[in-house]
Amino acid sequence: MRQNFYDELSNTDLKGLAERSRRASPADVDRVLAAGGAGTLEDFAVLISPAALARIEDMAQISASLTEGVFGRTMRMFAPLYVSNECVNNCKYCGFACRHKIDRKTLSLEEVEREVEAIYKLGFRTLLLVAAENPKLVSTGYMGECIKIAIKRMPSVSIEIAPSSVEDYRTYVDLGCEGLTVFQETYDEAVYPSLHPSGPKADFKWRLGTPERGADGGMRKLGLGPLLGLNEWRFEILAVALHACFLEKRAWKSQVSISLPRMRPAASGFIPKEGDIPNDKELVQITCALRMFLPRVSLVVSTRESRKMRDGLMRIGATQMSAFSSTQPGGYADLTKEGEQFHIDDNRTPEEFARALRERGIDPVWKDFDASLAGRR
Amino acid sequence: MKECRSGFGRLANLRRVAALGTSMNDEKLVIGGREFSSRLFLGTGKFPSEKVMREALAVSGASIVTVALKRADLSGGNDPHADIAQWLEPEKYLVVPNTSGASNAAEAVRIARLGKAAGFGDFVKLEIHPDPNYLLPDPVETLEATKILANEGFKVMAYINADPVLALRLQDAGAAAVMPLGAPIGTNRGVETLPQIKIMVKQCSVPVVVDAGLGAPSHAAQAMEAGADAVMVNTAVAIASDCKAMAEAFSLAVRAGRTAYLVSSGRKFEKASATSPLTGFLD
Repeated sequence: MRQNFYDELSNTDLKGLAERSRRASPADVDRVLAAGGAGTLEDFAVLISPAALARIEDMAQISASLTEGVFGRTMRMFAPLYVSNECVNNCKYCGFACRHKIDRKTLSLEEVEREVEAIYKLGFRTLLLVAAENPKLVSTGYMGECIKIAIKRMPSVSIEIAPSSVEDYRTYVDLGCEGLTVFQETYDEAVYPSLHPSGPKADFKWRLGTPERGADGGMRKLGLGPLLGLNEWRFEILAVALHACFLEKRAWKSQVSISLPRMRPAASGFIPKEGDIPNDKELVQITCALRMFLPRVSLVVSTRESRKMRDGLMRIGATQMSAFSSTQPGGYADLTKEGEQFHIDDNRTPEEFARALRERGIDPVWKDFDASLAGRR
Repeated sequence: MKECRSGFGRLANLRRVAALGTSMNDEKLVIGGREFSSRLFLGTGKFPSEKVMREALAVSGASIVTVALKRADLSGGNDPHADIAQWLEPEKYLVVPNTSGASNAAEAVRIARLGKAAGFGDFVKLEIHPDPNYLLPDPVETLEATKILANEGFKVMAYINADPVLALRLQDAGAAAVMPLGAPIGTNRGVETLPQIKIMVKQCSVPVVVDAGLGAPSHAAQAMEAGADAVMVNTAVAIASDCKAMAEAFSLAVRAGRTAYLVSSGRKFEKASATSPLTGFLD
């Protein structure tokens, strides 16, 4: 087995596989469905083919049943807390990119405390701390302080911040941090540089190795995902599936989750190419296919998606959802704040969303970890 | 110490059953010095709602109900968004916290102590799984944590792979019961470890509770018929289309399997006995 995902990715012909996926026949689809799941990445490619779209209801039935077996009739609820949007990167598609004139803010520790309290009052006990990349303002020390503050109220705290070192991750884990999320944005090394022209984020390989370093630092949960809309989606989906597969061996002590954010309107004005973003039906197909290939991987659906999609996906394969998210620093305590990363779509309150879950026979789980497990509170 | 598993013990058991006229007069299950009327234990994860869970628990007649400490409020408060334990009814069954989520002995010991401090009592179901995908128990860490917790007075019920030697080591370390898996958690594949379970039933003096992987009442009956002292079920009930009916079916299956074990244990030996004596020529 290869020791890092960069080598694995470089040595796997995903473009060829994406091409074979586009040409898969109905007979190929029948074969994989008859087996009840995808045993290989080749099978998975068949399930995300245009031919498999005709069998989407069958796939959804299998996916729902697999999800129920592993995760039960429950949904892990979480809330993102944006602590900073002051970014040194200049990503072509992001509302936080340094070239944009938006309200910039890095929360003071007092403000972090106020936000945590506001999120707690909404009912959340699982928190994801999110920060833009800014080594001076969002230092290891600052993040450590944010974790300490959050953990006073939240039994589960995870982070989604700029890629860092094993040592930094170990520091966060010792403070009680449960998991680490990092979006690769695109797994295509040829496309990546033009989208990330400057700043530390331009380093494709460093970003790609982040989950491995997180696991080495003791992170129990590793969140992955491409940003759908930056590149041909079949390639990106195959890559994230391969990544999850790779981590099952390389990071066997960590649970992998996959998010599939589709690009939303943001201050960037970036226009995705025709066909790069999967449509609603294709996103459902991808969700089912991932579940049929990786039954134990957690699938995350954020408030970027519409109410209709979220209500559908909660029954099919999603296992973690946010609700009523604010993507601007300070946005929970002050609902009039500006400077968001992207617009959310489903803006139901946590209570309304929990009701929608219960109406579909799904129990919202707000607390599913205790920081005392990871470190000392 | 539970009933002796020697052939003579089985005969005595059968006679007792015969004398009482019904297997329902089986002796009580005893774990950690406490008697339990039912040999079915239920978990509380994966249910679609607290209401459905409570109905299933009630109809099952379960004597032990486990709850994950990671889903409970360990601060001593009563946070409605963080406390699955608030829905349980400790007057009907013993609520036993589990250490699910712990990946090593230190974490398990820490959360078990927090559970006790939060009012959960002495019993603890020890679950240590560094692998979050298949949730398979770590034997090394489990033995280590059992030594520490048993020494502190905890009644440790240890979730383990079906390893008979490990079960004996845990017994020596002070475990109150061992809980070997039938198959990995949530797989509903039945008692795939039956040969090892049978060895454990013969060798262990602490109760053997078959846990995990029991996907159908017939699986539970099979484990009980093989001599398990109790079984623990969660997923199969929680994801059934009718949780309440499935809980009842498991309850019946456990009684059926136990009765079959008591009745057959005097007659059924590992090796076949010929109907006509082979040593008659000696007479």
